[in-house]
Amino acid sequence: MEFTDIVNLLDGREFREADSQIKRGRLKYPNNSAYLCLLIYSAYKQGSKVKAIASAKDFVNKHALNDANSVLLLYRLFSQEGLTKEAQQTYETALRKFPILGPKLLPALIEQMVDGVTPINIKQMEKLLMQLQKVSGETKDVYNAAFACSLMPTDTLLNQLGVKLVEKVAVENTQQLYVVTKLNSNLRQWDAVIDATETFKKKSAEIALDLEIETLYVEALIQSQNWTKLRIHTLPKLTTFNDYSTILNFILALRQLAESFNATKELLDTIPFKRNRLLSYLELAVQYNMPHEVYLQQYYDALKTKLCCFYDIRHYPKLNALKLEEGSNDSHVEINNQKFKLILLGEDYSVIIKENEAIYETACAKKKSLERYELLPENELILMNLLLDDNVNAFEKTDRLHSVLSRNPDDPRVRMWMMHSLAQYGHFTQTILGHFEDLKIKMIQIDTLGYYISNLVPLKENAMVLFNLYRYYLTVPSENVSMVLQGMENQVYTKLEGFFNFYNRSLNSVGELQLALTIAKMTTVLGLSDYSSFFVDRIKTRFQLDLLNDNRDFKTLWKFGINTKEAEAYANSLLLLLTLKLEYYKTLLLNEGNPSNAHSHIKNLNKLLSGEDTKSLNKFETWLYRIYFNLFKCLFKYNQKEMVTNMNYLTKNLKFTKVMPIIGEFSVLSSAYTLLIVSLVELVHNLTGLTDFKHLRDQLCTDIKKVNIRSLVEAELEKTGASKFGFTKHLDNYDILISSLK
Amino acid sequence: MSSIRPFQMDDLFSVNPINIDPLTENFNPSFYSQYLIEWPTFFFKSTEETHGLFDQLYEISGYMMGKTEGRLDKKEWHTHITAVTVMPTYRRLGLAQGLCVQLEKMSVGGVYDTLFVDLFVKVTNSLAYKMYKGLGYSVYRRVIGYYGRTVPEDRNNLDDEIDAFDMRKALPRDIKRETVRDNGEKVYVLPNEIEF
Repeated sequence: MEFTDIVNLLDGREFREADSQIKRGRLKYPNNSAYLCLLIYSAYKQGSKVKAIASAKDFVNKHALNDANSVLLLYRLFSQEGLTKEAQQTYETALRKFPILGPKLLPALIEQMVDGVTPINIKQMEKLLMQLQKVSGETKDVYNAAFACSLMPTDTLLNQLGVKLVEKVAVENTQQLYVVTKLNSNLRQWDAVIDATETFKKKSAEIALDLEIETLYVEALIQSQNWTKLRIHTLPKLTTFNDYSTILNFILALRQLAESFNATKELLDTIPFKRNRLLSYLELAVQYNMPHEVYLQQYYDALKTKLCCFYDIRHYPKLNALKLEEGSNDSHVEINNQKFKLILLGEDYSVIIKENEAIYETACAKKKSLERYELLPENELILMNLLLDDNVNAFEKTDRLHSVLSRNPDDPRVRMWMMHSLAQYGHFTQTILGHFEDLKIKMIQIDTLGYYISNLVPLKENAMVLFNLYRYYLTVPSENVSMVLQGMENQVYTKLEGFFNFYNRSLNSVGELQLALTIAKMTTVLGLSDYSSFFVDRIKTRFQLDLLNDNRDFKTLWKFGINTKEAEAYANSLLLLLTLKLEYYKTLLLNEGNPSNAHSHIKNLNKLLSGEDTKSLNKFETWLYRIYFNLFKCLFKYNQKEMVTNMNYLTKNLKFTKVMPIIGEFSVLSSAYTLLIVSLVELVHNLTGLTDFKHLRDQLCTDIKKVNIRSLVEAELEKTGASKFGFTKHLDNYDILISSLK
Repeated sequence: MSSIRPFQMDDLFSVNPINIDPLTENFNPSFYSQYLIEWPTFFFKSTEETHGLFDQLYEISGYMMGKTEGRLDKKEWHTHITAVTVMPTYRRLGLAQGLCVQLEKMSVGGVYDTLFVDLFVKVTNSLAYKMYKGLGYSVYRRVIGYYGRTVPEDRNNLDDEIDAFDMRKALPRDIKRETVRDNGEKVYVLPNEIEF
């Protein structure tokens, strides 16, 4: 059997067959180092990570690897563990001793580096590409290496080296020109950027430059204070290219050339694009320290019927001089005015709230029915009210959103607000799911908006929905690998950095980890062990907590120009990620068979539970993770001396009576309460089969079963007068959940 | 205050305000990356300054995805608009038109130098139809069942809900304007007849 076939067996967790092949190979070829490497890799894949890494280090120190496959395998193993230095040393030693390996090994290493699991290490990439260009001498490899140098903008020596490399090769296309200008731009050699761009333009006048190169060229003109050239470059674009950045650069150039306000304005008058022209007057006045009120008014008068009006001018200092049109029949004018008033009139929102409501109602009366996909812009005013009005309770706000959405079901932002609003109640997770599905969230949106459904109650149909969503994460790594490799192959340097960023940000994604943990928890409670082990394996092998990327989108919801402080507070509250990390280690430990790995996880868990961030946990969460922490210490005999203390802690605290007073602090209608019940049920499931804790588990199970959630919720609904909002709709889910306890 | 900037792959993390729209398609990442690799200059975005809101320098207000296809010897070498979309707040400003005009300019001369620009628009989407007419596009043919779920076989089975207009605008390279025609609304074709 071939080397790669055995690696595939190990990757596919077919250990018995793989081990027997390795054994056979070692008997047949006792001096072949490849089989020793496979043996180490087998141990690594079977969970003995610490031991395997130690063996690999020892192996590299003692043996000179003379076959590319072994080098690649150990390189991969070290890289996956974040041992960059060791990974590098592996191939460097091999190349030094056996240079003949170069042409085969280097491209393979580059491909392996982009493995869809580990982030791209630019430094290592540069080293590999540099060696490859030495070996091959091909133009493509030279530019790839130079481009890699440009990705480390602060490393002067490296950028100089990049410039030296490309100096020997003529620039033949815009992508190569981009590499040259990028390197020189990093080195702040502005004249070189300008010279390279202009030489290319002279030589190939018919070829339009990429926008990325245009940006570098303009930046070079500004940095080198080449105002005359900047003027010459931007002036013709004023009439042909509707680009505000160009206009700003034009104003900058003329100001630096001491051109008068009037002369500059006259040139700006030629801009045929109304919005950008009117804004350019405003900017001109500010830049020349002239009064800008008149231009502010001019802009408002001309653009007040456009929804962008408020956003375009809200930041200008003389906004309070603006004379808003009164009594307008145009809905967009009214919406803009309401937003301006919010800034200009200060803290008394009552008038604005009343007006917003009236404008909305008038709009609805005027427009009895909406076309398919038509959006009623006045919906925004109701969203504003929900944030401003403290006299309306949470149920009433949700009900109001419901009525707005019923009238205009195609408004995605109102639907997002509906999900946001419902998320505070535990009994509406199924309704949230319905809205999520109506929004047709798919592909990358699963990563950015999937967090809306991270609290679904464990039900088989919910598990199926989450499995389907998770498919995105199964396909995206391989797509990203081919994207990066194809981008390099095609030398699309203007886009490669974006590809690297996208690739890296797709790894260790908070959205993916959250979804995988939710599924692992759900499948445990539902007893779907096959699915459970698949997701646990994903969690084990695909995440490094110190490299998490949070791609969740907290901004779209708030894009209507107000209350940014609330938006930031909301986002920040979700950014801590402490519970996510605690759940991560909990899941690893519940599925860990190797004591040495378990001890390292317990250590990490302890670190998290002793940190400052624990203040953000609620009382139940503190209780729950302390219980798990002590449980794991007992199960894995973490500290023999503390065993009795740990056991006593559990005997004393792993009781429903300890949770009861805490539960009382939560509203039974809240999402925190639902999460609490789900976590307790999960805890009982996790304790099942642990003989030392059978008594505690059985008692907890009996006590949970005694809680009549349905009647508690109904009583609370009665008390708060919220019955009319249909909260009882999904109470059956609790019955199903509790009935899973045996 | 719209500016035109190149689209980058990681911009996909920031386009929710645009792509959450029910009429804007969300493709798998490889679809976007393929466009960026093969037609890097034909994928660009419009941006608006945010003045520090949400720690962003700017927000993306719209984007254009285009490509080239067809054979020159068959007079089919052209630029195709795959997607042009704008966030609701920045609609009715001519932004989409601006993005189309920018694509046209990029198609004239240079590396691509195509004969015409084309796009598909739902027969019922009168707003988009008017916008493209205003930009100089005309209907070249009506594609029967283009947006339907089944493959149509009868080219006379008209259905406004699922039929598309293939609209074109001739570019300077098509000196004799051979790639456009009058009364294209009356020319019916099936989807399999429009492949290049």
